[in-house]
Amino acid sequence: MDIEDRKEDSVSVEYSPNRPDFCSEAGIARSLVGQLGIETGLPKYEFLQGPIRIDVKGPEIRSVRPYVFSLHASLQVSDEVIKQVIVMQEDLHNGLGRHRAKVAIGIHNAEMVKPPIKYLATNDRSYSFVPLGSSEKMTIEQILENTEQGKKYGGFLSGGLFPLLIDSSGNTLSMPPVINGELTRLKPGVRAIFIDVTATEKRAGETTIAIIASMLSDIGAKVESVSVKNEDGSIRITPDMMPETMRFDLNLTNEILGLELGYGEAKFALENSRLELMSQDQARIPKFRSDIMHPIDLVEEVELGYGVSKLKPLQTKSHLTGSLTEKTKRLRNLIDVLVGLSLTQIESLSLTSRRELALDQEEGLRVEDPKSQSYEFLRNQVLPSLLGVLGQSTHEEYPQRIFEQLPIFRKSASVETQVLEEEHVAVAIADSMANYTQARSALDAFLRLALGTNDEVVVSPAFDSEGILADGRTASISIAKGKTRAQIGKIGEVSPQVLHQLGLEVPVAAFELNLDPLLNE
Amino acid sequence: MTSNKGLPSVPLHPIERTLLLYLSNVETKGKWADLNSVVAGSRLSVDQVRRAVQWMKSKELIELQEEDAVFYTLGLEGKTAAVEGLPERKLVKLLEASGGSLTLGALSEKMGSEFSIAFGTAKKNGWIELYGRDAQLNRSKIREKEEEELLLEKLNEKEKLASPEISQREKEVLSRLISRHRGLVNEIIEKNVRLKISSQGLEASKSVNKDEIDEITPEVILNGSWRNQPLRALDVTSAAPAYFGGRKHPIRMFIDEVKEVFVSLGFEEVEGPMVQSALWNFDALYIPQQHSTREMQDTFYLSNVRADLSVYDKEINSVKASHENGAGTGSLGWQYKWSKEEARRTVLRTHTTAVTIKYLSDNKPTEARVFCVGKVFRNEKPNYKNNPEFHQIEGVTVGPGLNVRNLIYIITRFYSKLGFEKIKFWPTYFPYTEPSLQTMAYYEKKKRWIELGGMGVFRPEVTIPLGVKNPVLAWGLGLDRLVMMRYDLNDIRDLFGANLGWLRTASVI
Repeated sequence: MDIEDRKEDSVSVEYSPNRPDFCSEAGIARSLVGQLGIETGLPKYEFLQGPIRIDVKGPEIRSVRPYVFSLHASLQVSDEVIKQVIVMQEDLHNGLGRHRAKVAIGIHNAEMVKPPIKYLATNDRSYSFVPLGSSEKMTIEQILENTEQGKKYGGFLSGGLFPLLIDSSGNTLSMPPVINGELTRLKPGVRAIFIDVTATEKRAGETTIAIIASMLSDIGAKVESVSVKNEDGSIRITPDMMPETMRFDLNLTNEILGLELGYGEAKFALENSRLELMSQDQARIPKFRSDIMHPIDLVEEVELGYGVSKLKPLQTKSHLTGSLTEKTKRLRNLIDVLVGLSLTQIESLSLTSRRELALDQEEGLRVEDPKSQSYEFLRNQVLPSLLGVLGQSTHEEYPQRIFEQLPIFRKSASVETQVLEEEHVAVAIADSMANYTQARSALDAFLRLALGTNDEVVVSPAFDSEGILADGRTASISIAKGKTRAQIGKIGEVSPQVLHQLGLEVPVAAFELNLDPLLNE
Repeated sequence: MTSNKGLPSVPLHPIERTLLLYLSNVETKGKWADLNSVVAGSRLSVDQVRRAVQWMKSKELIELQEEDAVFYTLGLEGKTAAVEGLPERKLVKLLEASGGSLTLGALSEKMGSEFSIAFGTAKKNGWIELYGRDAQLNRSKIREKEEEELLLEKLNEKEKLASPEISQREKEVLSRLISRHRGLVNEIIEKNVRLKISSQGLEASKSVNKDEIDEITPEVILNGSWRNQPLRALDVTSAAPAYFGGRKHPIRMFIDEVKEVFVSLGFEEVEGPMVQSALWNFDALYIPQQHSTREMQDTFYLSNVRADLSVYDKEINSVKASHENGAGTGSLGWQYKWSKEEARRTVLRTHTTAVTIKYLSDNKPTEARVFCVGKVFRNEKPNYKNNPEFHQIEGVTVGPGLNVRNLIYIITRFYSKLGFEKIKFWPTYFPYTEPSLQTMAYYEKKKRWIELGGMGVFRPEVTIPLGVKNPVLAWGLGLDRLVMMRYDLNDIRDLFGANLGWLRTASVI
């Protein structure tokens, strides 16, 4: 938990997603009283068995949203209570509930609920009730098509089955996870709340109802449990506040923290975290702490109880020697050569636009749902971005001699991700006097120092398939080894049309090389 | 190094020297000369003379006189009037053609817009008289050419008249023409520069040695003339044209520096691709498949590309078990049905931990120190703070008995080598480390605490299923923000792309 903002009489805190129990002020206070030593150990929640029963009906519900949890809470419902409950509900929906897909919470005016309640699923899209925010009955079909909630959450109900909670008067309390009924809308002045939690995963639902129950109890509500009767006749009491147990390992704790704590110290630290040791190696965990899934999580609880600021650095000796990869060393040396050729290094992004790469509709490696079209495609060549830099730098003095070294991406079945990354370098010289010869001199100088000779370099006339370099002034660059010849790049003068498009008024000579053959040699 | 001994009083550029010698010769000495005559006489170009005049003025070698030169030219209407006559003359011609008399109405109709000015002037000159509604010529008062008309013809013929070419009388006529109607005659004022050599210049010209060597050319070196002839002194204080050499990008320089720190602490570099399967970017790190960081909101997934994970059957079984039930590590696991298809999705790595976890899985070291520095991606709308691409620095150490206090020690050393002496730790949460901490460092230059990065001990659910038995300590921090701090940049986007002006000036030390 981090303090985000501090005001005279309030603080804003941000909590991490593993602690959904911090979704209410009551939940945060519960933890703080422990850390401050005001109230430590396991928080106790004992609820009376209430009269409400939910009957789970039919096999259909098992395939769509099998788990239901519930509670009844008596309290004076004020605007402030409604606000707190809604904030908690939203946080739980967005986090633990995965935007209601996994867990959905319905909050009702308990005075309007006539138990027992049936929990079932229907495939009848013409089934109708008055949904929240409406004054008239609507069919399921209409709700899905015409309400905001229907459009947003209806999609989770694949398979054409719709969960419903219907009370004994035949009133529909809720169609989870989409929408509640209007009848049980919560208003200030009401004296009891009824809550339903439906879930696709049992543990997530159990945690959610436990968080809600403890919060309501903490703010003074009298919580009563609800019984859920399954089709086979078995009965489950919800919320189930029986603490979980987790193995506690003092040795592991001391090993990981680098401390030599005794049992008593560990016990004290855990109690400050609102946990409890039942024995030397068993801890009791409140139901709402589903983040504790391994003894290592208790190690952190001890660390927090002990105090991170008290952990002092402990020297560690290592006989290991450090090293750089061969690729790093080679790239560094190649870049040094380019810098020595009076070229300034540019750093562009790997993601770019279809426009910059001049791709057709079907080509290119694309990312899904980018937030901007400027970052939609994985770069397949470096030269376009380098020319883009020149186009945006016309106010800078000439000559402009720049280079960029970046990996480019291409599809390849030989790589497990199906995407090959190839280290490239591109060089561009912009100046009123720039021409092929200048680029060629730079290329020769670079390859001479890279290969130790220019004997193997073959430059032959070519056309630029990307359309950047001018016809008649373009060459392909290959390395000849014996009888094999591997093309590694291209060189030429940028075509006047491209210069014109970029707003450049000086000629540009450029080359681009695949460095992989030089790096893997 | 250098001494002031025997410095020449005024170093002269060759063009200054040429101009000085020209101005000091017998014909021109002491006389004011305009630029054109200097250009012609000195055989320098206009440009060269202008430059030399600038320099020599600041050295007080010449005196300058700037005065306004006034010219007169015909305007568009003036040109018409010079050929067709002024409006009042046209009126006279019209009356002549009608026998010397016409009604005002008829005149106005024939002359159009020129009528009122023509009538006014003709009346004033006494050329016409009014009888009732008729205008009648007063021939006795009409001369063949008025002064105005003569001047217009003269201007038309010469195109341009300079002030000194015009008599006092003509000037009065000109000013009448100018004030009479815009577009008849234009008055043009030009700055006229005249110069002559100053007494200091004259003095300096005496010490100009025509035998000085201008440039140390190969001939000069070979022919030995340098033995007897002095070198012309240069103005060593004058600025030279800008020269921009090559340089590495500041981000790359900082990466080099960070790598050096890692190597000095005994860390070995590991590397891996930017495109990763979800298996290595998320699943192997025990990040559940429904975790919010895996949503498309935050992560770049490649469209229509699925990884071939067939070589990882063993790893996949372990990872699956770890997510579903804790894989016998003593963990409850996440308790959901793990999907291999989801793990096959390909992503642009969201952290370099994808690379280090793969290293750990491949090598299962009992002891190791490795690091990775590279680009990572988040599907974010770019703004001054966030870019969809940035760099991450990551260190991992494995060894028997390694603990959180060791981690604090290593981090403290690491940051101190990067220049942060004061750092503090506090708890945080990551799905794959437990305990987890984050660091803040005190930034001396700005006198404030800045967030640096996160760290922790890899969870047993991460390491044990992949066959790594000893504790793994790991930490990561963002690199770009450190570079921004170093160069006082406020916008992360300024680090990338077209920023040639900055690259040409950003200090390397």
